[in-house]
Amino acid sequence: MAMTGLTTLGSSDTGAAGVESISNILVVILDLNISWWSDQMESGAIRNGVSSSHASQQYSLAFSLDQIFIFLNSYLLIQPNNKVVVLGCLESQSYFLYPPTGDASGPAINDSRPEAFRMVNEAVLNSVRNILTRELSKETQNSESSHETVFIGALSRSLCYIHRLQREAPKGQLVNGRVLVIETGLDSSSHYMHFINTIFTAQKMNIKMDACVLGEDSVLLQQAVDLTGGLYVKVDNAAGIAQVLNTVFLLDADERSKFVVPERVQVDYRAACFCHQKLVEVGFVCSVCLSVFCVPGPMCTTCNSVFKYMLPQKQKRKGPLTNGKTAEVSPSSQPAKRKTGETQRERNGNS
Amino acid sequence: MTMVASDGYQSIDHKNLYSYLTTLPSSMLENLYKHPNPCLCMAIFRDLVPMAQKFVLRQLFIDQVLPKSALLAWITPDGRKDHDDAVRLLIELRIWSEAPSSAGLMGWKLNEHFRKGIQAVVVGGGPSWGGDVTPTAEETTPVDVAFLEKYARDQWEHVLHYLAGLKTRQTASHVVDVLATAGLVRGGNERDGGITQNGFRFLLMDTPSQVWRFVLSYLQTTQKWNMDLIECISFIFQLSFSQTGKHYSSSGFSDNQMKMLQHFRDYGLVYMRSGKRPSSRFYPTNLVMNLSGGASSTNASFAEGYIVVETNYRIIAYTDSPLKIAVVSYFSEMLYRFPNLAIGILTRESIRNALAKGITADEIIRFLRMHAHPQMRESSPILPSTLTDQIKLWEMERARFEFTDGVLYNQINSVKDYELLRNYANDLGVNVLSNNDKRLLVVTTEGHVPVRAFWKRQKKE
Amino acid sequence: MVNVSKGVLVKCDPAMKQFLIFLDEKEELGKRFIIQDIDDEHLFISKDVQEMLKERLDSLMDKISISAGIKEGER
Repeated sequence: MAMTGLTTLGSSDTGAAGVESISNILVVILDLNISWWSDQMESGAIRNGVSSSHASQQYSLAFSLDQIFIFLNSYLLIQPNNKVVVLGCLESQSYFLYPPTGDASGPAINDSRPEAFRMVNEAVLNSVRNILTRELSKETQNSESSHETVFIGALSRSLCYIHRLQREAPKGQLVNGRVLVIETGLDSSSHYMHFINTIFTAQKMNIKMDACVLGEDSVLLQQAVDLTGGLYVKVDNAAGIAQVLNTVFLLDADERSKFVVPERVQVDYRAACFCHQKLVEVGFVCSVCLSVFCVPGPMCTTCNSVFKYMLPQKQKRKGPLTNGKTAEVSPSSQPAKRKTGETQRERNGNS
Repeated sequence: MTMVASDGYQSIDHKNLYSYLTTLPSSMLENLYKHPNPCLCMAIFRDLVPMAQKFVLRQLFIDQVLPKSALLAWITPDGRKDHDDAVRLLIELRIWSEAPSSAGLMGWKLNEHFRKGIQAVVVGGGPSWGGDVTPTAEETTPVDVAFLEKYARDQWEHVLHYLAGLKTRQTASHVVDVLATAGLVRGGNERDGGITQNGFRFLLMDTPSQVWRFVLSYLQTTQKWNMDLIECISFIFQLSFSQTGKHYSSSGFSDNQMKMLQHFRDYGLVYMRSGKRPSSRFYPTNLVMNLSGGASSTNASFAEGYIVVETNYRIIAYTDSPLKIAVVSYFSEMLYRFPNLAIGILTRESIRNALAKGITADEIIRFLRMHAHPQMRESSPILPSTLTDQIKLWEMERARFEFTDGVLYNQINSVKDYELLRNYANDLGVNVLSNNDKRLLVVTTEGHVPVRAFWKRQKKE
Repeated sequence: MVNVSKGVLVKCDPAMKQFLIFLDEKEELGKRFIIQDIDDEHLFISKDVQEMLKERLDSLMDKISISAGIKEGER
């Protein structure tokens, strides 16, 4: 028998790297946007062409929660090492639905689900109930709630939670984390900076972000999915979420290369300007700190470097701007000015 | 845990529910799936390969037959091999059967009872599982989890003591029967049956795998005792999905189930108070709960590690249990013995002795890694790579030659004749080796007869 | 004309193959046993020497091995 290289001897099984067991964490962020869910109940039926008599039940939050529970239970069923964490976000606040904080007790039902699954389902259900009753009682005083969802808080909390589990795991246990955002409301670009920072953190931690969008397409989530290597699906019919979730979002990292997954969406990578938080296509970029502005100003608000504009004639000599997207404004310094002068003279000399 | 063991072991598969189930007649499998308690479906589902699990989940709520072409459309070329394995597994377990779809194409139909079982687990709403947790008030001294774990450990060690030939106390005959069925001891009748090759390997396995292997052969032995197999299997799985530390009532159990409870008490799988009144309450221990695959087992064994392996090939076992020292002595040479520890050394002879007994290098390494002292776990890799490599090299030493009986055809003068013979041998599948430059061909001894007949026919033409 | 011989195909690494050729030339096993040298990793030998070969291999490996960790006293 040929003596194969010794490097292959020890590295075949995971034990050599000190990994004895692997546990997988799935964090589900659920968007509890009240306006969207109430709209769904009223108009969901009409939009999806179902007769209105059975309609409202099918698109209610309770029904969708049941569908999501089917997905969570399937995930827990697959491997005993799989764990689930559920967060809910509402009105720019995020709440831990499972593991529950505070009182999440309710009527205990004994049915054919294993106790572990039942605990998760009931904790989430009761927490959602408590949160919504609290919110809705406040609602009567406030104006109509916004259609936008801010999930950045829930997102950063989920990353922190995964990190904490990784640190607390006993030696030799590898914790793999994944985040699934189920979004219903619209994007809010108010926290774009924080959002992008969180995405980069997730990238560094090797945490994939998946998105299941029930409402309108979300540019933010598309960017997140693209940058971390996750999956993005827009669901048209909220009544069939369970099948979509079970088909697409149960796949773990290796399986995504073996199954046919939804294609990568063309992502809109427009940045939001730092002055007005508007998405811009063409703008001004500070060459020191790369912050984006939609209107030119005298100095950069982020790094406090002063801009000095180049005079128009010199720009003409240099030729048309080759970069079609952004016009570069550089902070002035004497050496730079001299340089352009020299090139001019060279050209004059050579021509 | 889910993959089928493919290392060519004879009968000592680890955690292999799948291979056991495929030995059962198909009608029995159907009855298992039909059982009102879906825990068996859940256990089997957990044991499937991941791709098969995804297939079943996707089909769970679709009533129609899934056309084969649709299934293939779900897979990329990379996943093709896993797809084939998964399909084969599902067919052998009777979870999928071939049926024509509504469009007339051939497709896969999901077993109705299996589907209902998984739906009951995932969706809920069905009848609750047996063994309701109804804490009765008369529990004067509640039993805590630590006590249960210790009890389980002690009982299980007694079983292993018998296997290792250490006579500590009288072992019940049913234990011996089960061990004999598993092929771990020789001779069922004589109480002094010696340990077999498989028995050595069994002792080196981790506890959950040992329990699994033991339970599987227990199920095989129940047929000898005329107990209903389906009832036994479902009872075992029902126990495995119970909660730690909670007690269950055994009133209303059938005779078979009571008998099984008594047996399990001897193995350390359940705990029952002994006393004048036969207790109607029992506590499942962590051993039985690991049957359905629990992560907690690994954490517990981390803390219990007792072996330190040094780079000078010395093994220091911080234990005084005769069983543990006996197991370590299977593959190392014992040097010193102290009240709280034993020192041995891995030598070429000791490893070769172990290899001659049938233990493989992988098993030895896995055993050392599993029982490594917590301090060893600080370093990565846990065991010094010099040692693991050397053990593997000593094993490879024994396999430097590979012998294949065969018949050699040489001095074939024309290239055409050579190619003719070679292609014919390839078609028959008997070609062992062919060398195109020297025009040599080696075929198996069985293949020699047809090839020779073929050659004679060729020469006549 | 094709020559037919019954025997055993041996697959090994090139170093071992040289060892076998040495045994064959010196007739250490009592007679010559290599029927055909096929390539760098394969030899075709006669069947009856198979057991003796394994023993010779074991004794060769013993001779060239040094065991670590000598006990106090002798080994």
